[in-house]
Amino acid sequence: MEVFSVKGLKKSFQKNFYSPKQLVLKGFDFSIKAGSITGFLGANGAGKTTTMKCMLGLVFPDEGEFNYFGEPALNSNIKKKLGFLPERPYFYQYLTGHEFLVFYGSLTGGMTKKLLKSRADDLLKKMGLWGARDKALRDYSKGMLQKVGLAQALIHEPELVVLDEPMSGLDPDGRKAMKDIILEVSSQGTAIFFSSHLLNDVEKLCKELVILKEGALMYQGETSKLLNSLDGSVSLEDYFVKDIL
Amino acid sequence: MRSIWVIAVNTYQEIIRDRILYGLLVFALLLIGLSLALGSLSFAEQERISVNFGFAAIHISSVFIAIFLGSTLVAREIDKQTVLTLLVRPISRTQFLMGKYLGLLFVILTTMLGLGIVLTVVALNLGSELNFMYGIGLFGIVLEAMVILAIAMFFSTFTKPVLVVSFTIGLFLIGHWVENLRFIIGKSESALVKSVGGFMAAGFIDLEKFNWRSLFVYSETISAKYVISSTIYAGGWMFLCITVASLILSKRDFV
Repeated sequence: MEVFSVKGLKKSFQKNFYSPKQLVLKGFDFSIKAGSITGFLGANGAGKTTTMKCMLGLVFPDEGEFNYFGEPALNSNIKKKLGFLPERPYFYQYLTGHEFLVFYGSLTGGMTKKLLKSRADDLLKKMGLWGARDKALRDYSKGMLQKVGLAQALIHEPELVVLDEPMSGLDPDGRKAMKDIILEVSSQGTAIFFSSHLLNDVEKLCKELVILKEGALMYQGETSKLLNSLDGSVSLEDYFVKDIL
Repeated sequence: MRSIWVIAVNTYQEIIRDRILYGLLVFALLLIGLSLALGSLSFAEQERISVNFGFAAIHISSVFIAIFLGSTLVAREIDKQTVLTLLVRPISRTQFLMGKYLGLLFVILTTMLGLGIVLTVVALNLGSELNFMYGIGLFGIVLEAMVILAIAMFFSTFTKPVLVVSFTIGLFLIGHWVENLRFIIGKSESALVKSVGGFMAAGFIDLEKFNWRSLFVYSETISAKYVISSTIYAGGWMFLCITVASLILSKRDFV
């Protein structure tokens, strides 16, 4: 079963009124399966972030037929099923980690205050941030911000989580923690769709891949199928350097 | 409605913990202190000068908060991309805007309440007998701050904070000058002055409609009808600014 699909996604941008429109997403289809971990790959400027923002209603596509959990439009009920962590997240500096999570949970609704607070505490423990529960976010390190950002994407128990470069800038420990959390969340039935340049991590984590090149789809399907179609000694990284960059 | 409230409370919390607000508050308290010093220079008019200057201090500080914090209210969310994680939640862009507006409005009301209490203590100490017009004077300041904040928010949906501050200060100055413009138009015989001036007088907000700060000091009164019509006038401008800001935001791509 698919939790998301789009057909013919197109988006163009215009720098100024007088400059010509530049087509950055050239009309492609892809889908995300329920409970899957799908890696979203492409070189810088391939259109990954724009695609994610089109999915989430932050950027309006020129064309595209969307389907979210069987519905064609991104309404409030659908939004309750989505979680998102943007690239280089910046959050409210003066909120503590706990206040921050409760705030995002309250925005989604559907949980009592008591339940929300206990869920926020559980997530802080799971992310290894329990000691920083009452610290203001301005005192968090980059890795801690990335983790609390992931926690805000999960606070309302979404069915599809979109993560834009969740592991960028993290040290090996932080990356391992992030991977463990992604695996755990996925094992509970949540679909994860994430972009990354860390191909070794993607190869290990993702059963499914979506690969973009200059705004066009290069591949959508199982990671193992892609790797089998290549020469046995070729890794995802080798394929990427040779064919995608 | 719940989403608006959640965003408003968060905005309030953020600003209350920000040091910028305290800088503005210290500035306002110094102005009230200065009003006492200025009042003491006069032998007969100490109470009148001090209270008048105290009203001016509250007016200036509330407008400063509305302009300087209002200018970054939405722009900072867009610039720092916190807006992305908010709008992915089940809230509309209009609700986001309303929440931000209400949050800062609560901050303005809180600071005005604090400064109002300080001024009241000063006035009572100087022997003032407070009456209804004292409250009306403060209410006028609230109305003006609400409108200025809505204007700052409108500009902040499409331009940078520096320009928001410039445009809003410009409209604030023009707003206090519109009454004089009407006077000039009335006296002028030039068709050009009448048409251009008339257009400007109709198109810009008249902030003098909320200037009731001197009523208490000079023992004057104002009709309830005028207060109500001015409140509706302020409401109309707020509605216009927030509606247009919401329309602009609803079309915007957050790249």
